[in-house]
Amino acid sequence: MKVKVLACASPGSSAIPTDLEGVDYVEDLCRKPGDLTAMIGGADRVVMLVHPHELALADVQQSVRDADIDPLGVQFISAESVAGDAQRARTIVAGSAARAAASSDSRPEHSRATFGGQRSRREVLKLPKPYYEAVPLIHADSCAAADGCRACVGECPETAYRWAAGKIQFDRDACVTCGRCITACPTGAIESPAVSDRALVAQIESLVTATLPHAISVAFVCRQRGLSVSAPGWAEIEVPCSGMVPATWPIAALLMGVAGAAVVPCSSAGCDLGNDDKVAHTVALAASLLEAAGVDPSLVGSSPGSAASELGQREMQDPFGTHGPTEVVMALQAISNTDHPIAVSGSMAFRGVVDIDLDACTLCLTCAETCPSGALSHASSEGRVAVSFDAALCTGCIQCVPACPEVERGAISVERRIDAALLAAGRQTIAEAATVQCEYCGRPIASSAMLGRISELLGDEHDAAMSYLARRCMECRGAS
Amino acid sequence: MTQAAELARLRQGLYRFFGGALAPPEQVRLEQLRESVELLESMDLVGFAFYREWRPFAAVLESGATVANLAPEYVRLFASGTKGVLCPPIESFYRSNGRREAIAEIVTEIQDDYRALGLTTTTDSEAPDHATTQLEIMSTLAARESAAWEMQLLKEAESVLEAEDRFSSRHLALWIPHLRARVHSAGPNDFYAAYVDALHAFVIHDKDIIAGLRRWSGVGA
Repeated sequence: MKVKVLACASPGSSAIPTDLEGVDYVEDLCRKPGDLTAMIGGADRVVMLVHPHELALADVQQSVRDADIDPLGVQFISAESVAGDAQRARTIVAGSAARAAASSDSRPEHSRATFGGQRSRREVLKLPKPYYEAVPLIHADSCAAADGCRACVGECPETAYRWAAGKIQFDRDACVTCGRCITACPTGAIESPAVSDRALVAQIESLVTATLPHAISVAFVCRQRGLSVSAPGWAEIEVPCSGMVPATWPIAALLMGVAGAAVVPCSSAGCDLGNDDKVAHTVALAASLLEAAGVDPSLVGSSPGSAASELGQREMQDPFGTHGPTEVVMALQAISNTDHPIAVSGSMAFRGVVDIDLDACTLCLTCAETCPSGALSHASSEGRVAVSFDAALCTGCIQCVPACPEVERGAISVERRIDAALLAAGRQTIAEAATVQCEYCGRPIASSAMLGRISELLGDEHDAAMSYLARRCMECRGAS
Repeated sequence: MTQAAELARLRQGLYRFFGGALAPPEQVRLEQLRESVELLESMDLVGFAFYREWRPFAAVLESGATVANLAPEYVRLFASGTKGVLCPPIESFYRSNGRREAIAEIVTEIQDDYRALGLTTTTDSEAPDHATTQLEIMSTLAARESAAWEMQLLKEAESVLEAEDRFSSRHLALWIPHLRARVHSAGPNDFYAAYVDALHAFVIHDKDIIAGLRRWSGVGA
């Protein structure tokens, strides 16, 4: 994968260091990217050091496209974020190049054309070139909407998602490209070329292996608001929105070897998505997890700090992906300085623990059939039926609770809790009962618990009917 | 001509081009399509995201697609191959889920939509739900839009944009992705695989362009 790095040598610009090796400096690149196509010809990806406020994005994207390179794969680095120290700038550029090389190509559904904001009636006729933003793509084959999952609907700060008749309808126009749906989706069905596990891993790995006098720290910052982190020793990890960052991302970065990690809120930069509270909760949860592992909680914050981690570098498969939360907690557990498992409860906890009251549960299996992430599952074997639970897969969506027909009797409940012991335990049977077999065909009729419940509801006067129900299956009763 | 009118004119041409490329292959038509590629690309096509899927199709077209090698593929995929029509380029096939009674409902719905636009299909044209018919409808609407922009009839232009948005959302954008998937699963064929990739990218993109134009002009804001 060949990555070309270009820097804008705008007249009067002093922010971008002028002696970075492997970087081609282009006069007024941001405003007049006329020869860009020829300069990047033969490359697979592009990194550009630019002055964001001067960037002629539509023209840049056109030139990149003309060179047969995916415009949505271009990594932009703002001049402000590399100002000053050349060694730090080199590290940041190398990190972005690694991220660019690891990013996947966009598909037509990812590109959304925009002409800009509303104009006066006269100006409407003078249409500018469109520029393109990356919007998420929902993969219907892995979406759990048919099971009732609405995680994206609940997470979207606008009204881009709608659930109807077991399908998710996505309004591309209403999407604000914040990416919160991506990290909220329990099945990994939503993705965007703007951010991926592979690309983030590549970027952070590059940053931590750089030769610097001190270990580097990272700050997850909103791409859309053009915030820059220029503190010495810190590098930006651009994400579509700081509100999409789960608590495990800064921890994952720490476990990969960065010295400190921050998630930067963006309301001060004019964002009206109301993410500051969310970011504060994310940082607090990350700190709680670190504390539960006996690690200095001040290693994560909402702005560049001074604490430095010595956690070393841990190998992880998918730290920023769908299974990342569990993997990161287990990796943190592995280096825990305490003699008890990590356990954190609260409304922001990204894992749930399902509890079934065996006195109320009828083993109807609706909870397992409804679970979008596969945390609840059911199995039947000779004469028995069981519900099992894997805490590592539970996202605490609580979809199983309203689906339960015995919810009023408290048959099922979910506590939002991250519990390393349960995460490590794997799949456990949490409810089990014998099944009653059909006298005629031998197939199971229902669980004994369910027949008991039906009997209870019908009362003594329907003994004969109950006896009949308990002897014949639906088919042998001619009911199907 | 204003930029808004030029864009509508370009889109009119693109819809017509894509419709023409899905008609049964004929030598004259292939030559017209090749000439159209040159003309359309001269209108700054590279500025649009679907260019990345357009260019491979244009390259296949330019690299000597002939009636002799396209005709068997066309028949196999879209007409009456030995295994039946593998990839019918008609909307009702993809939306009816195999229910015969649904086909009539869908076609009736489409014809109602045509009538609402003041249009009707003639008996000698393709079926009302055929891709070429629907592409021609969008081409016609884009022509109306272009004329409205040119005469600075902003209300009229906005009204046509709304009609385009509605038609694309209810029809082409709904089923062209399925046509694309089906052509790709129907075995290797360079020309039509590249064609459906380009058509799919264009339809998705154009729906966005329409929405973007509506936001720009203030209607969809």
